[in-house]
Amino acid sequence: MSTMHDEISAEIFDALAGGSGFTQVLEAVCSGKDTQILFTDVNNQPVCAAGDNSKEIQAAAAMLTEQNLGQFEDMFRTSRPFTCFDGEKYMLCFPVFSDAGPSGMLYIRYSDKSKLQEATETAGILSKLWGYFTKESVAAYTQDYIRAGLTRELLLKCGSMDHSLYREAWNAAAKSKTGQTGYAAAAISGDSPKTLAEADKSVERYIPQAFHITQEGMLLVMLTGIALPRASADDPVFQRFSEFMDAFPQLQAGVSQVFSNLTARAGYRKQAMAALSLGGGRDSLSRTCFAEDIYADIMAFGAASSTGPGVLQSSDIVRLAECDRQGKTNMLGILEQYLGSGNRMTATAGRMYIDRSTLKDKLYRISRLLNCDLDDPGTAKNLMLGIKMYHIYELAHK
Amino acid sequence: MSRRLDLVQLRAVLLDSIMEKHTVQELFDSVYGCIRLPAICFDVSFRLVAYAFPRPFVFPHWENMAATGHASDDTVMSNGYLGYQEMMYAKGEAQIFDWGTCLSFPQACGPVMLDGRLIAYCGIMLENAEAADVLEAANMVSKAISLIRKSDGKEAADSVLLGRSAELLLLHSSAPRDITETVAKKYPPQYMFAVMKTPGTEVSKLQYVLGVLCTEGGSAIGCLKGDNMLYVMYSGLDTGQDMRLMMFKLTGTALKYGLYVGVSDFFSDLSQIRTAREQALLAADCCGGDSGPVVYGFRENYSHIVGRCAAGYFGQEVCVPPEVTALAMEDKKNGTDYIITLEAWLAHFRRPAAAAEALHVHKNTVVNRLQRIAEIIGRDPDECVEMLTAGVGMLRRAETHSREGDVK
Repeated sequence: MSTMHDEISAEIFDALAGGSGFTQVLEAVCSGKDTQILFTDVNNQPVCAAGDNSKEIQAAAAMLTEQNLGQFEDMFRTSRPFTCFDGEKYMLCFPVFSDAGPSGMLYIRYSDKSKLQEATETAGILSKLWGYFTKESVAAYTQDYIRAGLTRELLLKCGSMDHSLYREAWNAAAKSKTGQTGYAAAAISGDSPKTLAEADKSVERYIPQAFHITQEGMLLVMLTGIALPRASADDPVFQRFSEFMDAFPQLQAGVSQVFSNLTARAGYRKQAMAALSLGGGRDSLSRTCFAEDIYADIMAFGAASSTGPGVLQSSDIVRLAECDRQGKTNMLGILEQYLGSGNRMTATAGRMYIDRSTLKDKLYRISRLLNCDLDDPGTAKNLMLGIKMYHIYELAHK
Repeated sequence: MSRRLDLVQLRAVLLDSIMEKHTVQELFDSVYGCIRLPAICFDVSFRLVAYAFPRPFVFPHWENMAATGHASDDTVMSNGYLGYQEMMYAKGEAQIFDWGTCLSFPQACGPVMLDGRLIAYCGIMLENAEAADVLEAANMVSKAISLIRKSDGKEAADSVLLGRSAELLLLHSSAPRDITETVAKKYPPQYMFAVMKTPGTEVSKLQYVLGVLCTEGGSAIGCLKGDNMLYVMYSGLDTGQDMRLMMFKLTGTALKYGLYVGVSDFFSDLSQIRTAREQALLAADCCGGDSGPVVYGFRENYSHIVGRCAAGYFGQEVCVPPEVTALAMEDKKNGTDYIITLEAWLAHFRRPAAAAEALHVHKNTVVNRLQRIAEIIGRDPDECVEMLTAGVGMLRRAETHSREGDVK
């Protein structure tokens, strides 16, 4: 007695034997059934479709992909298909693999729920048939898929990259470039989504060894092959990054410190994003802000981001700022200058264009108000940090 | 042969007392009339609520409580009362205690709960009665006390209102305006928030400490958070004078009761209580460890707490800048003292002479080391003071973290 598998195989064989191409085989499979089939490549671009109103399945697949990007990636990792109901019909999503790795996605849309097994059998056979028709082009698709996955791993995730496909791709990418082993993360924002999209498309043209992705209105770039231990303007990678920024005057960027341990990349990504936030507000002329230039601010920004609003605000500094507001004084500014100069009275007075004795008097008033000794090293350190945190919160408030 | 108790009659007596709206003392008088066994009830701060036994009573602990109206802090701590109470709370019902202070005076003791909160303890001596009967009697009496307390007009007055207000304010930071205003009137600024933690579940201890710290007419309000944390808000503080005294007092409390305490910065408006609570929690997280402090103040350890938050956000490794890592590596590899030199130089406002004095070396040694440091990090330390100050702090944090990790 023939099985369902046999029947489908026979149908496909007949179509093949009749000289049909892949699309025609799909049409033959759909013929006389309330079924639509769509085959997409690894970037989810339609390759061929069959069945009545095949645009319906393209629209359904596009919507599904948009909503379940993460699940699609997992499907390729686990080789497991899944089914869903799009409000009108059922759809089977079947990842297609060749010997070299993932090569596309097969969608079968059907109206009768009981047809799931038939759809699965059909998808299994068609996926093999796809390999038969596309021996030549599989490698290119695979590479695209792996690079896209690797980019997501690098720029959006954290921890070790333990997927073997990514590891191999990473090793290959790392070896072929500059011979240097440093990385840096960059976070880039633009004046419009269009600018950002254009910049995203151009990254590889300017910096071939960079991985990039646009996420939540921000272009994230992982620069590779940088000389350790510090970012230098002479480094060829940073020179190319600079050329890229020059080409897009509407962009602002934050760049992390150079690092070598990829498992800590999520922290450096945050560092780049912090540099972007701080750099933008600090100096709009210099459009690239390097984390190492404002390391202490970056640390303060991270600390403030990890707690609730105002939690790390120092009550002493808030009181001082409040007094300034009420009495139109500049005690906070004076204290900041004094602590910043290493508690040097003459240098501070000179920098502020005031008399030394005036400064002395003002500092005395500040120490009375705060009830502390400004020249105690621990107090000075805490006050300096308090001022930094105050500015960070002010920036966030704006 | 043990005497059986008439539990049916006891149930009727208890019901009568509840319906007649008796006080707890009146309830105890009725209970004693029914079962003829000595009984006592005291609140979570070991203040006597009611008793029923002939005096002077043979069991010194109960006699002392009946005579003075409470058990002193010394008595509670030196006799390990809190250990017994913890067992009662953990079991949630009466159990027999016939060891320790109860060795010759076996008794059935259990917790009195009201709306899920521990409010008191109740004990009945076994004497010649059947243990199972006494246990059941103790549970019944506990429930009756709870019911009387629930409908007790006195309970609904100030203390309960204050307790609820404290919970709304300290736990949820969302008390209605009238309550906030009432609390602000009774407890004026400046405020300070303290989080007290026990290593494990110790509700009885925390309830007791709450009673000790937050007395009626005092300047603190508090409430329990879960079964291992106590939130206390101190009021009427003088920001200029009180911090050291408070820290001293809190250290005494922490050591005495085995607590870890995190203390917030001062604040003057009750609307800032959520921020203060988070500060105190951050400070409390820094306590403990083998040799760690038992009381940790947000103000005194501000830079450490900020560093800790930054490390939590970026990751430990990301927070130590490569310049400082390079110096630490050099120290490790060649036995140099670049990091401690840098620390001393930064702590002494970048004055080589002061740093040299602190390090007990010649001034030129510090100057030479600073030159070498400049070569290693590729720039003049004077030009990157902020980075070096924060970076060295982060390095020290990372070292401590790694040591604690090794110990664990």
